Amino acid sequence: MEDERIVELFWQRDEDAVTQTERKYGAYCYAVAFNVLSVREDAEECVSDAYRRAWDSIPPERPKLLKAWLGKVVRNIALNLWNKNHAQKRYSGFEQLLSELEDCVPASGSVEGSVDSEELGRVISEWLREQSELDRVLFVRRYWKGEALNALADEWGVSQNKLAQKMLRLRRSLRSALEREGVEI
Amino acid sequence: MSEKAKELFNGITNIDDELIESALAATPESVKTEELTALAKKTWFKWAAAAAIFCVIIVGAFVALNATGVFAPASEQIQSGESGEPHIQSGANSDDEIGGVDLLIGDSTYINGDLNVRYRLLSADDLHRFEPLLKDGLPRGFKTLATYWIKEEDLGEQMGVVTGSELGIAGQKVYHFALLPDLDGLCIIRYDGKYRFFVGDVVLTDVTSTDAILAANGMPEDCVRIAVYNTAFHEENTEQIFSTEDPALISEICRLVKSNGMTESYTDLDEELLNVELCRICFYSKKGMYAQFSFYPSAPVLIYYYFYPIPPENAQRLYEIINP
Repeated sequence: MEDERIVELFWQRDEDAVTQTERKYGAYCYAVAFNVLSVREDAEECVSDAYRRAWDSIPPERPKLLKAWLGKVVRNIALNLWNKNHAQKRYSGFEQLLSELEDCVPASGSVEGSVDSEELGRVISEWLREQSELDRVLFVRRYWKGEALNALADEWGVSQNKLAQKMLRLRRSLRSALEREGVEI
Repeated sequence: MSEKAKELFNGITNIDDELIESALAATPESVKTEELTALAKKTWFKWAAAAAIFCVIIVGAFVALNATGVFAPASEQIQSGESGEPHIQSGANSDDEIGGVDLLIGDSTYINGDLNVRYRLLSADDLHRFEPLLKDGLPRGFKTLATYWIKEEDLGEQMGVVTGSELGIAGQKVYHFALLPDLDGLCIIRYDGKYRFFVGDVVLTDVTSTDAILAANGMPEDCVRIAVYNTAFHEENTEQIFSTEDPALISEICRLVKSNGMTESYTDLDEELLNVELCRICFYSKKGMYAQFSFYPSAPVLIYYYFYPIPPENAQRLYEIINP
């Protein structure tokens, strides 16, 4: 079913909207959640919450790109779950992601002051558009979707070592871009 | 873990939707660049090793299956028609032979040595067989059988043991699904590290009449529901246009679809008539088995790989029932 039709079902308060969303994007949402949380039950809970959040948010929202919109909802819920549970549980996927993202954090002392996450998203988007298509794809797949490095290397038929080096260069490039823009987190 | 890294995670969450969608849609083929080539692994030796291992596995599997009688040349195969449908395999009654070489690439699985029912992994297209039976739905909501994560408590009574499988799971225990414990057509087997649903299809040995096909699935006696859909296969735009669980109506429909034999090609039928008014009649048994026929009221004929003409007055009555 087309995304527009699914969104229309949400607007009509038709419960089939959730069924159709799950049918089309259930596996994808689960993958996004599991890549971050790496605990099956929590990933399932995260996806179920995402459907509820979609039900509560549409309307008034009308996402143009439902897949990306759902993924963002899943990521937000996953982060909340991490905040809630990380003292008791080890979410290895998320911890690994965060430890890599430390490389991107700009040095403090920038003049513009800290930015909110939407503004930060805009700056990162601009930086991404300056990258090659391959770099854009790899960055989004690793740091947005949370795909593991070895899985990415396998799927793309590349050497894991070379990929790890490339990702490191990308992270450093992002940090430089953020510093250039005067972004402080 | 620093708060700043989490802020960055949030920032990445909010990158533009177009960038996300295009990156998720990209494949190595669509992003074929020199840059990608430079990152590529030197794989020729791995391919060589993989090819050698593959040969060993194929030969081993062939020998093992041959030894158990599971893999043998079919004595009876009904070839597909123009639609490209899969073969109907001959069954255990024909010298325990169940198929040809095409089985090597499938997921066919057999339980308790019974070669009359072939099990395979559940797909989304099978949901219409089982989900209507889940009167209260699945626990925890927002799930279908296709995405349901099977837990230990979902394992019902042990149904048996896998005795032959192209998936390499011979010896695995087979369980009923606790929520639908009476079904033989749906079971749970551990495969590839997870419990998964498997669906059973009767291996038809007699397709000379609609009666024979229904009987192989235990019908009309076991038939508990009949549903009619508007498309030839289950797909996105499929709609159910009729259904009944009324035993009297089920009995009447089973009588009406009784065919006067079968034909093997379109040549006996007016092709113009076959272009209109298609619907599909599905018969569901209480054990989770099912049979289906495409129905062309204008011809009038039922189709399941072959063509089964039915008397015009029966077709008329059937048409009236499903289009009240």
